[in-house]
This record gives sequence, C-alpha cells and structure tokens, in this order.
Amino acid sequence: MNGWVYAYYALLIACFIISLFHLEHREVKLLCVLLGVSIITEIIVELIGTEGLGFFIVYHFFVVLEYSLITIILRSGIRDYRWRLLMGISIFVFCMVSLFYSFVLGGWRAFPGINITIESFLVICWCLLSFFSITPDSEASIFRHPVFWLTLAFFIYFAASVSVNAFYNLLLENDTTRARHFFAVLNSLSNYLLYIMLIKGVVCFRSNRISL
Amino acid sequence: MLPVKQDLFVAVIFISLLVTIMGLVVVAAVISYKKKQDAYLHQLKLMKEDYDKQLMWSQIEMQEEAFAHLGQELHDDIGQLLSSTKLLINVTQRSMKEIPDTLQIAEDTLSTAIQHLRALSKSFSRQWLDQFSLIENLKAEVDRINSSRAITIKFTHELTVLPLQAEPQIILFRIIQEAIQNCIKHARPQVIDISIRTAGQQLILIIADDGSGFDKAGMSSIGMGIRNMQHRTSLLGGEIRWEVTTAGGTAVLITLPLE
Repeated sequence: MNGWVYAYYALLIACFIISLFHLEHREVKLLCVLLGVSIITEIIVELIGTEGLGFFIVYHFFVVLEYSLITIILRSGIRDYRWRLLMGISIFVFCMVSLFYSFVLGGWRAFPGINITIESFLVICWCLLSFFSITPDSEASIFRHPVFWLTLAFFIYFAASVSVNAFYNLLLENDTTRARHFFAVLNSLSNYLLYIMLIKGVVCFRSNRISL
Repeated sequence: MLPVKQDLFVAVIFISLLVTIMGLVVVAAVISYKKKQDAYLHQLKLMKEDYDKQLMWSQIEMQEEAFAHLGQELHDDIGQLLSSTKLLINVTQRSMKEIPDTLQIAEDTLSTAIQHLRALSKSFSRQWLDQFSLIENLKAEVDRINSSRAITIKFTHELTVLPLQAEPQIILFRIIQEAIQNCIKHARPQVIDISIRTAGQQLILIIADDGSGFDKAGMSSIGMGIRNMQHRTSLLGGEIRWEVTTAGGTAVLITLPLE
C-alpha cells in the first residue's frame, strides 16, 4: 500500500469522529452515516481484495447508498419544493436503474463504472443547484456557511472523479503502471480535498451554533 | 515523472479546464450569494427601520395617553383641592373685618396656581390634542410660560396653519416643549426666541436663547431628553442640531421635509 496515497483514510476517520460530536444537525447525522458506510466499505474491500475475491459487489451497493445519502444532504439546503421533489424521485429512480444494471445487464462481478458515472453526473447537477440555492440568513460570508463547504466537497470530488474516469481507460492503453499511478494520485488528491472540506463543513455547523 | 504523451497531455489539459470551470462555478456561486445577501441585509435594514418607527409611534401614543390621564387627574383631583382651598380662604376672608395682606397674597397666589394648573391640564388633555394646531397651541404654551414672568418667549411664524398632519404636529410640539424645558433648566435665559418658517420643501424651526450656552464637545454624553428629541425628529424624517449663537446662547435647529 502506498502510504501517502492512502493516508486519506486517516482524514476519513477523523471526519467521521468529528461528525460524531455534531449529531444534533440532521445533515451531519446523514454525513456520519455516509462516512461510517465508507469506512466499512473500505475495510471490506481491503479484506476481500487481498484474498482475491470479487469485491466489486460491495461497490454496487455502496454507489446506491452513497448517492441516496449525498442527495438527501444536498436536498436539505434547497428550498424550492419542485427541486426537492425531483431530487427525491431521482434517488428512487437511480437506485432502481443502478441495481437493475448491476445485477441484470452488467453483472455484479464487474466494476460499476456506468453506475458511478451516472451518480457523479447527477451529484454534480445537484451540487450546482445547491451552490446557487444557498440562502443568506445573516451577515456571515458564504465561507462560513456549512452547506457551501459540503457542496464544494462533493462537487470537487465528483467532478474530478468523472474526468479521471473518462481518461483512465485511454491512459491505460499507453502505459498501465504510470496510468494507475496517475489515477491513484488524482484519486487520493480528490479524496484529501473531499474530507478536508467535509471537516470544514462540520466545523462550520458548530460555529453557526456558537454565533447564534 | 510521467512520459509526455499526447493522451496524457490531453488529460492534463482537460483536467486544467475542469479545474478552471469548477473555479468559475464557485466564483459565480459566491457572487450570487453576495448579491442575495446584499438584498437580504437591505430588506432587514428596512424592516428594522419600520419596526423602530412603529415602536416610536407606539411610545408616543402611550405617552400621549399618559399625558391625557395626567391632565385629567390634575384637573379633577388637584384642581378641585385648590379650588376648595380658595373657597375656604374666601369664606375666611368674609368672616374677617380686616383681611391680612398675607392672606390676600395667599389667595392671589392660589388663583394664579389654579390658572396655571388649568392651562397645564388643558395642554395634556386628549380633546385638546385631537384638534391640534401647532401654531395655536404653541402660542398658548408661550402665553402660559410668559405669564409666569420668570422668562420671556418670543414666537414668530410665517404660517398660520402648518402643512403637516395632526400627529407630526404633536410630535413637533413635544420637541419644542422639551427644548424649552432644557433652556429653562440648564441655560437660565432671559429670552427665548422661537421661529417657524418654510424654505422650499422644508420646514425650519429655530429655538434660540440668550442663556449660558453649552459645551458642544460634551454633547456625546447626551441625556434622555436630547435623545428623545433626536428620535422624534428622525421619526418625522427631519434633522436636529444644536449650535452656539453669536451671543453665546444655544440654538436648536430643526429641519423637516414637507410633503
């Protein structure tokens, strides 16, 4: 295991622990569940992966759960009823389509690349919507708004993932080792940014409570 | 380092473009938030101003109610007691062959007190306030104070009827009363000049005295009376300021916009 590449696990655990102290906020509660599921998934993948078993099945379920939780978190910052309804419907539709594709068309032993790409595009759309739906309720700057940091974290992570995934296969054809290294670096970089911003978002929830 | 191949080059360019687009999205979101925040804060400011105005109006209404009640009490209670006392003095005088000077002076003083009390209770009464005319009532107030002979108030005005509603006139009247009280209490003047005139779309009111003046630098530690005057003037959308006159006295300058 490349130490610095996978050191973001430490950030993931730190983020999970910090969120445990702010469970009074609904968004943090959902984030905590998401982080907990991520930790469990990573552990299962590491355990099954080292034994050479088909661990991709874990991702098929994780994608569905991840999309649902992220969409619910982003939905809490949106006030327009129609958008909220659409986001709610998208969770149900995505879950059905994703599971159908995984188990009927793609097969559960294959990597759920299509599912992840669809998920990423949807989350990016909801992030854009969330960015422009942040409503000011005080003189505080947007950088003290927790929803801003949560949205930014998901936006950067999924936008980076989509672009890296799009070029990954192309790069693999030229130089497999370096392509994998390149992928690992970018993947870990986006993960670092994700967890740092999530921590910042959770901390902003606390700051808001104090200022009130 | 990675080999510089075309695919990698395209990938790097694409990622750079993506980062730029993400940056632009974030900047756009920040600008959008800032605009919404400005609108929100402006709305909040307007609401606060409106709330302050309503609060001030309520305070004034409550004060007028209290004044009306006080006026009624003065008239019905203390006025009646003084009248009874005067009646007793008159009865006593009739039973005496020769009236002592002191008793006569006491009776005269009591008559003056009853007159003053009636004028004062009249100035507090609701009925008096309902049919309010600033000019007329200021004249009556000036006469009441002048009758004490302790001080002379000169009142000059261009208009016989002010182009203001009854409520603003009452507020303006209370400001003038406060200013006069301040003059008498702090400056101990011989003469107070009150003038009301219009200039363009403004009403200009000056209350000047020949008293001991005031320390302009010490205005920061202002009292309740002056704060009240400032609040009331701002409620009418006007401005109030204090100046030292060339004679060394104090001049209160009030400008109000006319509809």
